[in-house]
Formats: sequence, structure tokens, C-alpha cells
Amino acid sequence: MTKSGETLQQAASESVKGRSLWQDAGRRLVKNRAAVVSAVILGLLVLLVIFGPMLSPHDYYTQDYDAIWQPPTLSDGHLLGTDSIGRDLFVRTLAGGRISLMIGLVATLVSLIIGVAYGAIAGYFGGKVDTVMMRLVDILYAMPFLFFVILLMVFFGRQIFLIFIAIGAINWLDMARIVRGQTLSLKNKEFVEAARMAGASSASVIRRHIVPNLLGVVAVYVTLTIPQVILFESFLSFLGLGVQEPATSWGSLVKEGADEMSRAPWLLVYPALALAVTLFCFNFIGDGLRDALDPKDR
Amino acid sequence: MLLDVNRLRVRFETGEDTVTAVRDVSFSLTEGETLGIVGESGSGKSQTVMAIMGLLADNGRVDGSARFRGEELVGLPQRLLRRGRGNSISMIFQDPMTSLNPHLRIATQMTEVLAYHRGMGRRRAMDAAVAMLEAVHIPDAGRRIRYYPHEFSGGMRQRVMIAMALLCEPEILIADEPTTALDVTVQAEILDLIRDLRHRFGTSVLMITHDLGVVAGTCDRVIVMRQGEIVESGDAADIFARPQHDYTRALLDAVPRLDTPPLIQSGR
Amino acid sequence: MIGYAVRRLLGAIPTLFILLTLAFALIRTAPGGPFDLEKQLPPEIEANLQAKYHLDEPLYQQYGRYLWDVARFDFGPSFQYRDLTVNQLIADGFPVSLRLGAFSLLFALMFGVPAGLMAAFRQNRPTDYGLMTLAMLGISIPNFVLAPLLILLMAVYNDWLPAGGLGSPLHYVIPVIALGTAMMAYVARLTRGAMIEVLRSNYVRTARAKGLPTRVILFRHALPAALTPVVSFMGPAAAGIITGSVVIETIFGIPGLGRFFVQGALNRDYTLVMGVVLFYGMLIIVFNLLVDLLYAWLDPRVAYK
Repeated sequence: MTKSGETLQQAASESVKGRSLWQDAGRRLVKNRAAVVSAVILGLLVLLVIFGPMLSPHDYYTQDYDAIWQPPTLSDGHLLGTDSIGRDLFVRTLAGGRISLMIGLVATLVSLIIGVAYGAIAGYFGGKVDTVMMRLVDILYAMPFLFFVILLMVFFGRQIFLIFIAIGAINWLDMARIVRGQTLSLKNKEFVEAARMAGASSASVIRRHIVPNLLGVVAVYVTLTIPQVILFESFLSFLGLGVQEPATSWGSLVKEGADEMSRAPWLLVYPALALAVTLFCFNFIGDGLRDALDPKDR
Repeated sequence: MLLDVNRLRVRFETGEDTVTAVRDVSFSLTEGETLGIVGESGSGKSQTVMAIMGLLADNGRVDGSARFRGEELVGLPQRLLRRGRGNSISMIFQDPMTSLNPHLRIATQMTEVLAYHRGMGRRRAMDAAVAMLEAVHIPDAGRRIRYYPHEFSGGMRQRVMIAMALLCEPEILIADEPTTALDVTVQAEILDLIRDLRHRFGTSVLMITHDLGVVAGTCDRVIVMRQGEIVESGDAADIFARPQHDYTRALLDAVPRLDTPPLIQSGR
Repeated sequence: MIGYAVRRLLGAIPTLFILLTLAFALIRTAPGGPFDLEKQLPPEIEANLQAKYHLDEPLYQQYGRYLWDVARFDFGPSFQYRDLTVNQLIADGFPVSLRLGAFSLLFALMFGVPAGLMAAFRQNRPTDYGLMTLAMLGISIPNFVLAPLLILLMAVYNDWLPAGGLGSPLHYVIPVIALGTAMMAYVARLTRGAMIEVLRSNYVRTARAKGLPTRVILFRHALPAALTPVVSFMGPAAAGIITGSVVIETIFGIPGLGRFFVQGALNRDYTLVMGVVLFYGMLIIVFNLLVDLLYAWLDPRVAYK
């Protein structure tokens, strides 16, 4: 649609005021009600996961044989009931959340570091380096990693650090592709040229000019990767290949709940709810962020 | 009077505020005439014709009047407007590269117009479409009608667009920046074509452009629009010779010297 | 086009080769052997077994033998199911998995595309917001969470549907919903986005200017373009279905390839695991090729020569 004279002038005067991309994006993000509500819920959930266990008289591993299979109740502190050996589900759900969220954050960070470095290098140097590096990414893309991860877990024991490595190692591929594309288009922009003319080294050009300009895509990617990682960890834990007893995660809890669902449905419902709500919020925030940074998509 | 536009007003509601794109525009078009509507982008010239066609975006509101052969178009239900579109009033657009559907053969895109407005069967519609492609000088039309748009060059695509618009022998052809996206040499060919066809089919033309060079060779009368309003109107020759408004003068200055017809040079 | 297909398939051989090598290396460097889980076997029987499966040979020889076998599509005998070859197991399990996956894909398209179209036609109105929130919910609920919840709702609390096994068509309902929902949500979002873009396109404006009825504009002019991203999504979708089927088949006790894989891994059934991984690898390559050919058929601008 052709813009009318007034909107054009309005747009022109706005750009004169020099509002930055981020301020603009922030304004649009705040207008996105779904994203804001999600951020609030997620914030509350994170606080609850961190501090909740301290408020409860129970801990996540103590077995209370006087209170097994207890449905959710307000009377004796088992807010969400107990499991087959009398462990408090409320605290277990929060403890599982700690692990799930932590894995989400750490593994995303791992893939972020690998992906940004790899993509920025490939995009910045271009040419043969780029071709070889991206060909490798293409080949790795074709690998059914899920199966490798399952094998890894089965054969080498179920250790959390292996999960980090496995998940981080898969997820960096997307990041590398995105960052490479952005870097390629950025590196020919005037300000990068100028920096190079002024004698800045490659490393400092990448660090000072390219990386800051990548922040937008990276922010979107991070918010959308965290839920993927959480999902993947839960998937492994559900198959019994993730976090091991006595530690727990949302995936393991869902698995326990699924096994006992006809007898104690609350064991399934609450951890499932916690997991779904978390993923839901992350996805909405990521979506909102993407729309805010790239409004033409709306 | 073929088309009579009176105090036409177009507004868009964007969230909280309302933006007026066209304010109190009045003009008329007689049979066989070519009228140029000139203005820079954002002057409201396109929205004026989109309002007449009933093709505004959902948030657009129209007031005033636009009569085609005495029949009021403003406020006419889409169902009735649709019968006239592509039939009595046709339109071609700026960008022939994207204005044709890349997924459908030219044949489909042309014959559907005849099938819908004229109730023609496949065979007859096909013959008519091929004849029209020949009329716009597309060589080997019988074979090329089976092509997809991407198999044509930009200029050829604009010819296809024109042929498609003329299928039902409309009384008015609205050409919205028909040459802007084309190479200079192709521009001249397309303008020649429009001129020829106008005589051959007796079609009136509404030529919308930001380029007074386009107007110079094709239009009988001109209206100049700025920020949704008409700032000047009159015979093309008069406007070129004695522009009254500063804005018109500025537009004239914007025409590159080489393209400038002698008419304009003598006026200054 | 046939030439293109052949070249694509040949081009996939290095990928498969790397896949095979990685899988082989991973499995053979893993601590523990395939017969560790069984009761202490007498040494001579164990030696017999080792010889039968060529585990007594040097590693490079085993690798070479395996490579040669796979090149002839022979995945060897299963370690766990002693009387069966991996080929036989795949032949048993694949039709089951295929049916489950095909139904899920169908389910996702049948509901996802109309939902996306509906949302696009009502853009930024309550219908749109409602459908897209539902879609986000669909994406956010993992299939292994959805599956038990559906069982709880439809099989435990109400006696509407059977919860496990594969006795009748009804048995497919819950697994198909569980496996297809996330994909349906993606399809709906993709369709909506593409349709909105198409409706704003110049050629739809042309179609409107030609005075065509809305029905023709939407279905003849807009739909093909709106569907192309959905078609491209079918590649990743198939990979997602395969991944999902691993857990869905385990939950519902469906005797498909996914369950074979999990059990094979847990039982250290090397040949079965390798066979399934390679089979899936080939499957995805073929499927992606089919998707690309379908795409070319939908979009005349794309030509594979």
C-alpha cells in the first residue's frame, strides 16, 4: 500500500528524532500483550523455582511413608500431593524445574558460543574458508543426531554434562548458519569498511562491529533455543536417558507421572503443566521479540 | 460524461489515528480522452483510483462521489463493483514482474477474465486471448500463451498485463505508473502501445505517474496532486507551458533535460 | 528431472558414508559388549557367538565387511533377535511406523492448513488470535506430555478410545493426535504467514482488479503460493515425525522402528541400531528429494535439470 503524504512525513520526522532500533523494538515488544504476559509468568515461575523449595517444609528426595499417593491438599504442606514413595510433588516439580531451566540456559549458551564463533568466522573470512566450513555444517545437518544422543546416553552413562555437550553440539548448527548470513551482509557495510581502512585487526572488527550488530538475531535465537533444549532434555529424561535419580527434571517427572497416571493423575498433570507453560512462555517471548525486531513480518 | 469524480475523500484508520490520503478530489474523464494524474509518491494519486475501483485496503474509507456513466460507484457493494472491474474499467500496475501470478500460465490468467465476465467457454476464450496478445505485438502468441510469467521479459509482461486488461474492451483503462519499473527504451514502446490501443479500441485512459515526461506524449489533460489534494489542473499543453503552482514547476524541473520535449523548453 | 533425482541420490552417498562411519565408531568405542547383559556365558559359547558375528576380527575388517554389506542393503543379523536379520526386523517395523507417520502427517495437514487459512482471512481479529494461541500451545506441549494426557482423558477417565497397542483403526487415534499436533500447529502458523503475504501481493491485487470472485482469487490465485512453504516444511516435518515416533511408539507399545531403536540401544543390539539409523538416514534423503520435486511442480519458476 502506498503511504500517504502524512504518514511519510510522520515517518521522516520520527527518524530525525533518531530513535534507535532497540528503542523501537522495545516499544513494539511492550505493545505485544502475549509476549508481556508470557514474560511476567516466566519471571514468576523462575522466582518460584529458585526460592519456592525454601518455603516448603519438605525437600525433593525425602521419602515420607506415612504420606504416599497423597492427592494435592492444603492441609499438611503437600501442596501438589506426593508420589509412590511419599516425596513431595510441589518441591520435586520446582527442583526438576531448576535442572530443566539450568540445562536450557547452559546448553543454549554452549551452542551460542560455538555457533556465533563458527558463523562469524565463516562469514567474515568468506571464500574457501566459508565454503569448507559451511559444507561441514550441511553434512552435520543431515545426521540424525537424536539417535546419536540416545546411543551416547546408553553407552556412556547418563551424565548431565554429556547432555550439555550433546545438546549444545546439535543446536549450534542453526546459529552458525544465521550468524554467517548476517555477517556476510554486514561485512560489506560502510562502517565495517571504515574500521578496516583505519587499520583495525580482523579480531577487533569481528568483536567491535560484527558481534554487536548480530545481537538482534541472536536474542531471538536464544529465546527460541532455550525451549527447544528444555524440550530435548525432557525428551531424553522421559526415555529414562536424561537426568538420573535422585536428581529430577520435568521430563523425568512427566515419565513417572505417566507411569502412575490412572492411580495418581496429579503426578502427571502438574509437572506436565509446568513444562508446557514454560515452553509456551519462551515461544511467545521469542515470537514477540522477532516481530518487534523485524516488523515487516506482521 | 464517462467518469465523474466529485469531492472524493479517502481515509485510513491506523490504530488510534486516521490518516487522510485523498481530500476533496474532483475531476472528470470524457470518452476517448487521456487524463494524467501526476504527483510524487504519497500524493494520493494511486489511492484515488483504488477508491474508484473499490480496491482500497480494509481500513480505507471513502466519501464523496465517483460516477461511471451516471452510476454511483462509492458505496456500491463489492458484488456489483466486481462486475465492472476488469470489464468496463480495467487496470494495469507499476510492476509487471510481480503483478502476474507466477504460479499460473498466461493462458489461465487471461481466459479466466473472459470466462467470468463474458461467460466464454475455454476454446473461444483462448482464441480471444491469443488475438489480444497479437494486438499488443507479442510474437508467436499462440505458443507463448502457454508460458508462465517468468518466461517473459519485463516489457513483455507489461504487454501481457495490457492485453489482459483490454480483453473485455473496457471503457476506461487505468494505468498506474505503467512504465516506472521498465527500461527507458521499453518505456517508450509501452507508451506507444497504450497510445495506439487507445485509438484502436476507443478506450479512455487514466494515466497515473510521477513522471511528467510520460504525461507529455500521452495525455490530453493533466491534474497535479500533492498531499492528497489537486493543486493544479488543465490542458497538458497549458500546464507544460505555463505551470501555475510552485509544485508543478518543481516537478517539471525534475524531468531530465534529454527526455524533455521541445514543448517544455519553449515554455521556460 | 530423472537425471536430477539420480544425481541427488548419488550426492547423498558421502553423507550416508559419514553417517555410517560415525555410528560405527560410536558404537564400537562404547564400553561393554552386546552379550554382557546375559547370564555368564560359557567361554566357548561366547567365542562361538563372537565368531558368528565376526566380533573376533580386527575392527577395520569388521568395518569393511559392514560397509560392503550395507552397500548391498544387507544390514546383517540382529544380535538380540537371534533368528532374525535386521532387514527382516525393519521390514516388520517400518510399515507400522509408516502408517503412524503418514496418518499424523495427514492429520497435521488436514487441520493445520484450514486453520492457517482461516486465521489469515481474519488477520488480527479474535479468530486469528484464538487460533494462533492454540497453535502456540500445540507447539509448546511436547508429544510425550500430550500422549499421556490424552490417554488419561480419553482412555482412563472416559472409555472412549483404547490406550495402547494396535488392534483396530481406533487404536491409531491417540498416537496420531499426539504425534501430529505439534506439526499441525507449525503448518497452521506457516500457512497463515504465507497466506497473509500472498494476499498482500501484487498479483492478488491484479486478480481483484480483474473482478474475479473471491473464491477464485483465494483458491486459484493465492492458495498455491501459500502452500509452498508448507511443502518445504514437509522435509523437517518428516524428520520430526521420525524423532517423535521413537517416544510415541514406546509409550503406546507400538511395534515400529522407533521402539526397535530404543530397545536395540538399551540391549546393545549393534546391528539393529545401526540398521535403523542408516535406514532412517536413507529415508530422509529420499523424502527430501520427493519434497523438492513436489515443490518444483508447485512453483513453475523452480526447474531441476
